[in-house]
Amino acid sequence: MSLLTLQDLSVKRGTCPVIDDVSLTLHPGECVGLLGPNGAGKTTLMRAALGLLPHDGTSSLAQMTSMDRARACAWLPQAREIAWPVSVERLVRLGRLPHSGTKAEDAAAVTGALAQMGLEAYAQRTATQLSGGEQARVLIARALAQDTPMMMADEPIAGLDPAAQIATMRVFSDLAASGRTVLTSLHDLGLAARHCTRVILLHRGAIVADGTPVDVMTPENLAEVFGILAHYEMTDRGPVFQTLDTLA
Amino acid sequence: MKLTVVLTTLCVVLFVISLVTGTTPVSPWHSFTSLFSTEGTPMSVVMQQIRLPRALLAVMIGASLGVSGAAMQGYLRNPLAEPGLIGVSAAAGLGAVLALQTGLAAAFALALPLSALLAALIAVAMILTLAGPGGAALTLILAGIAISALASAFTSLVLNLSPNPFAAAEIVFWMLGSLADRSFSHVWLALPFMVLGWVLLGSLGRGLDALTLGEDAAAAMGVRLPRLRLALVIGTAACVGAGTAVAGSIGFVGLVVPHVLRPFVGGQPSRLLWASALGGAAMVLAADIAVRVALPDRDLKLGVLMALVGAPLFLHLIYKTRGTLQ
Repeated sequence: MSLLTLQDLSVKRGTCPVIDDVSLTLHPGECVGLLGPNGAGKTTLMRAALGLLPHDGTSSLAQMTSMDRARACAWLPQAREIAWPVSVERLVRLGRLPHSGTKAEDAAAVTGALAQMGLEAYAQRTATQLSGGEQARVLIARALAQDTPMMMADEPIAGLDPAAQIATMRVFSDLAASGRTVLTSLHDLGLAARHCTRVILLHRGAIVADGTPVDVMTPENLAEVFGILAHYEMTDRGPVFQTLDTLA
Repeated sequence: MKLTVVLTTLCVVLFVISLVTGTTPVSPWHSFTSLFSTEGTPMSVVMQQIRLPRALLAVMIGASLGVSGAAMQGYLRNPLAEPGLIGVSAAAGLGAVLALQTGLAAAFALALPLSALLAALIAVAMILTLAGPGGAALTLILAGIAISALASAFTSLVLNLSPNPFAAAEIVFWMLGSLADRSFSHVWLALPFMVLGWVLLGSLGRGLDALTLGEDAAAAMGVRLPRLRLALVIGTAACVGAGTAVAGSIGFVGLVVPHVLRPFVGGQPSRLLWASALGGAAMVLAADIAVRVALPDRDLKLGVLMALVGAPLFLHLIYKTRGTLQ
């Protein structure tokens, strides 16, 4: 069983292909890191996979009705928008909109999501008055409350403090370990190496490499896609990845 | 829950005060009992055919402006949005002015509101064509501003070319907005459109709540944005178009009421819809009582008073919240 299947997915901006014939399948239990430089097409790929953008080819999620999709996959956009001064608890509860569950189920999901992101103490605070990083965590909790088999997140850890970055990646890998699927774009290659079970390297709208972090994040691939030199080593405390220099 | 009770009580009290306020020197209790009299006394005629429709129209128009203001602000995620933004009130005004200018308004009783409604309908068709079926919120605002400007330009042209100062004065006075001397025929004309508007706008709560997180997140949560926008435009147009057709333009209600009530509903757009409907009804009822009490013999226009009270109130709110608004 797969949670997301893309077949020859292409997105064109004018005549220029932004996503070019991408095919991939995501399975339960995978925590997938989507890597690539700025403009590689990470956001476009995820939005097209959700059916939020006009595209060629097929995506299993885009073929669902909008309500079915909302119960199959939670989407955390890059733009962190909180339009009104609502309480954190009420904002997280928005994740329950696609569900027609009982009040108790909704309350349990909201409490659970707040606890996962370590936000219990913030429940009654006004979301718009929190710091940028705290708002980001609240929005992740909202997506968690949607309680879907799959979660797609666009640079969810950008701007978080180191502890919150690690905690968030751990939440994602725990979700995967419990049989769900997470697809997240990120620029922190070290965290991707430590927490993702699989990474997909995207360059100019096409997949360059797809596999375990150690297979994908090779010196050759990193040089070609990012133009950087890095040190990657398996230690007894897990994989250690450190960028060293740019390549001329 | 508590807010609903407070606002409903306020509406009921103001409705009763509105019924017993007027130039006829009769005790409030006598006028109130005349409302239910079937004897056809002069007072019962005043109550049943003048004051009752006036109070009903105040409730209907206030609720319409309040709910459409809340919906518009929720959709655009901007506390400065108001129902007039899509140009329907300006277009309805133009329709009414044309009816006055051509003498059509004098031909039969409902010629003016019908002409205003027709113009509002044309404006909606133009907005939906201009802004397209999908499209972002910004195109809707730009289309609305363009249509507003066009309707205002034509209204100015009609005033410019009006044959005599009396015709011009009649048009200007109508545009100021008033509920004086309206009848049940106005109620029955506006009610179907407003009910349609209330139903459409009332159904938007979930979608507007989801839009708190932005258009992308809302779409991914199962909100069909093109459909939401269509319901918003048609609902607002039905509410505001019908309101302008029977009472002229009454500003500030749709802007101020959602703004005042937002803190009381915890910022949640869906709860703000109904709170603003009640709040708008209370505000228009209160203003319509005030115009009769303040200058009973000078026919102070409702729209004028609303702007006189609304603008300073709004300024005060901005002054108070400028620290927290970002």
